[in-house]
Amino acid sequence: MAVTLIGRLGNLLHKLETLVHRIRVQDSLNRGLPTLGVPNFDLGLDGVNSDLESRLKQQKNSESGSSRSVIDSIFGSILWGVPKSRRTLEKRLTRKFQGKEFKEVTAIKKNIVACLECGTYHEMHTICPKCYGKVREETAAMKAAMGEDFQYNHPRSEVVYLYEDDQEDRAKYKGKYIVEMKKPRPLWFAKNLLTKGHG
Amino acid sequence: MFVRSVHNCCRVCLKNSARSNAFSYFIKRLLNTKVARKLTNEEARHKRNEIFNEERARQLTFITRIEKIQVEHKGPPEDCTLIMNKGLSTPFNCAMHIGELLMNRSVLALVNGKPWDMHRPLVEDCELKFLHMKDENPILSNQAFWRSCSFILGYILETAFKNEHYVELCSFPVPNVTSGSFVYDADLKLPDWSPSAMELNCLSRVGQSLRYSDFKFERLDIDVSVALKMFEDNQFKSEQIPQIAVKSETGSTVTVYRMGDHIDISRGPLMGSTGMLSRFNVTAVHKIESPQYGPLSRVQGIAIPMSLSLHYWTYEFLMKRATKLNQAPIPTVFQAKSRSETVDNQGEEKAN
Amino acid sequence: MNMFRFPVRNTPRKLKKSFGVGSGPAERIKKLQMLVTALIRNERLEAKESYCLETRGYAEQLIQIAIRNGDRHAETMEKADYWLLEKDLVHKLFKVLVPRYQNYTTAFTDYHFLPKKVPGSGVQMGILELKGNPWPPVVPRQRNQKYLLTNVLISTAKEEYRMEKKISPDLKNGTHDKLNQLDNT
Repeated sequence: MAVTLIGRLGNLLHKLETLVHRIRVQDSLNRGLPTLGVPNFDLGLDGVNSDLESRLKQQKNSESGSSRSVIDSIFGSILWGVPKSRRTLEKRLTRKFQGKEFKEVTAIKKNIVACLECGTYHEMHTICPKCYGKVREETAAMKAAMGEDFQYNHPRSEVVYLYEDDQEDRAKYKGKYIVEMKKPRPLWFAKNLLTKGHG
Repeated sequence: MFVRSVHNCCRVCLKNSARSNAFSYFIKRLLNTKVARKLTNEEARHKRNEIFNEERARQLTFITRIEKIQVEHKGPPEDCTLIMNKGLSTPFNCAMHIGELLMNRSVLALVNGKPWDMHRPLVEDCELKFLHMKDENPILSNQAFWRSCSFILGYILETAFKNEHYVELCSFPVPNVTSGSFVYDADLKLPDWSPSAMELNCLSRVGQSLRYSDFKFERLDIDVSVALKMFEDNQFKSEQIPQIAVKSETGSTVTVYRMGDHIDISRGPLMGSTGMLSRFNVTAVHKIESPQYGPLSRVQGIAIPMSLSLHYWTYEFLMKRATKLNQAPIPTVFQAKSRSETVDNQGEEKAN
Repeated sequence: MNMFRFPVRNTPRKLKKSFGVGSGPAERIKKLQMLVTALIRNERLEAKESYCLETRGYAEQLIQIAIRNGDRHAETMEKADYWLLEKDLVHKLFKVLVPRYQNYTTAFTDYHFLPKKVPGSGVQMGILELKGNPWPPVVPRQRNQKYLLTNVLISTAKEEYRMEKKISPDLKNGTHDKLNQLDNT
């Protein structure tokens, strides 16, 4: 009983040694590194990589042949990241169905509200997309109205945008860079020119 | 059974005079029980519903062919024109065409600027707007909600008690949100009753369950005669109906609302359906004395709609305030001979 | 005390996949320079949430040291020169933004969430903006909520409570009236 066990272990070690060595050799060759202690038995490459074989034989002849312990060669290779065992179905499904793209379209959202201004639905913590669409368009128009200065030579004082119906306030903004908007002020854009965001 | 009882009576009372007295007493008792057999809540409700259904069917027969009307909707989510059926389509139907948002959140509609019930049919080309609880000027919505809650109190009083215990509803005052509670005055026929916390809780639960039942408030304009027939079992309403009719536009119409099985008179627009209720509590029952109607019970409550949120501590603080006697006017009889007496120069209702 | 108005992170945010394979800390800084420059120029920026929140720290610190040290300070000038890739913005920083934010007690930037695009990668986008910018506001206008049903009930209840307290100051309504208790003792 003990004899067969030892025999089996021996076989296993032999197989591991071959496998480990094959991996090490292949990798060394890929990186252009010298191979380590090529053993005497056939590598089993079987003429698939004849170039490889010839190279190996050359190296084998040139090298002195350092003796490394079997245990060292086994445990040394475990440093490289490689799947140790097959991912179970449970784990695969968990990764598949708990991604944010999946949850975005399947999980029930109870935080959807309607914008009080326009009635569009959006999540409670976000801004209304329709109202912001209008704001975005208007901002682009305002930037375009300033012209090239905006991109290349930004004014060194506060910028004031005056619409067609705000002409009375011109006197207030002496010393500021005034941009004329050639249209009436949009109804939804309240007249809070140059008010502080916060104090 | 009758014979045995008489025999027993006679056995107990040995003298001849006593025996005859007992007999006559027994007959009297029998007669009295037959005469004093009271109307049950269920019967009264059933009768009102039958009359309501008949009247509604009758009014529908006036619409012989479907005519179309143009309804202009203004406001979020979009301004649009709808072609609806005259006398059949309601603002709620218009909301169904426009979007779910208006169906779910609308309390009232404004038809040509006039407050209109969500389930009341439209009769002509009009401009339509919807009101909800979170408008910037929600005064009309608030009043409609408070008025509907008073109406619901009436429903609770008629259904919560035992069937045999007939309750006569009197009336409810103009809704006043600042008072902190809505009110219904009724003759509960329980002169010595002061409700315990458990009993108030039971009454409140009847109201709370309405949120899940989701009853619509159906409106019907009926003639005085029909109304009197409907409410003949209720002494208070029978007195009030002629006066209410006098105040109406035609001079002989009474507005009646149905919610589930419960039917009651109310002047103004009520909210669309009871699904809007979030919290509902009956907070107190006070004894009041009306000069014309005698001793009545003032039932008070407080409620919050689904769209508005409130912390439970704050709500309980408001409930405590709602237990105090509401200072709304005590129901009296107002004798108005014609509409001109009740309406001043601007066409607005005189405060009474 | 001229403290920072914004909680700046000690460690860099993990933006591993954001800058592509082979990029490292240097690439991250390059990207952030571009974002800070864009923010100072445009005063409003639409980008991924992680980008916006990273630039926030750098932009806030830049403005804060500019306010604290002024434009004659060599180190501050160096930092401004490093972070602002377009040099006309250095003038803007010291001549426009510093006077604007001189007396601010709060942060100088605002961040808003944009709605996620569905279908999409599920990436969260956001808007980063400098406060006091001339553009139309991102958030809806302030609405008057005084007449909402709950607010009406609360305000009238509060009035009544105060009236009762005036009439009888020893009134104990079962509410947390610690101040009153102190007065009585």
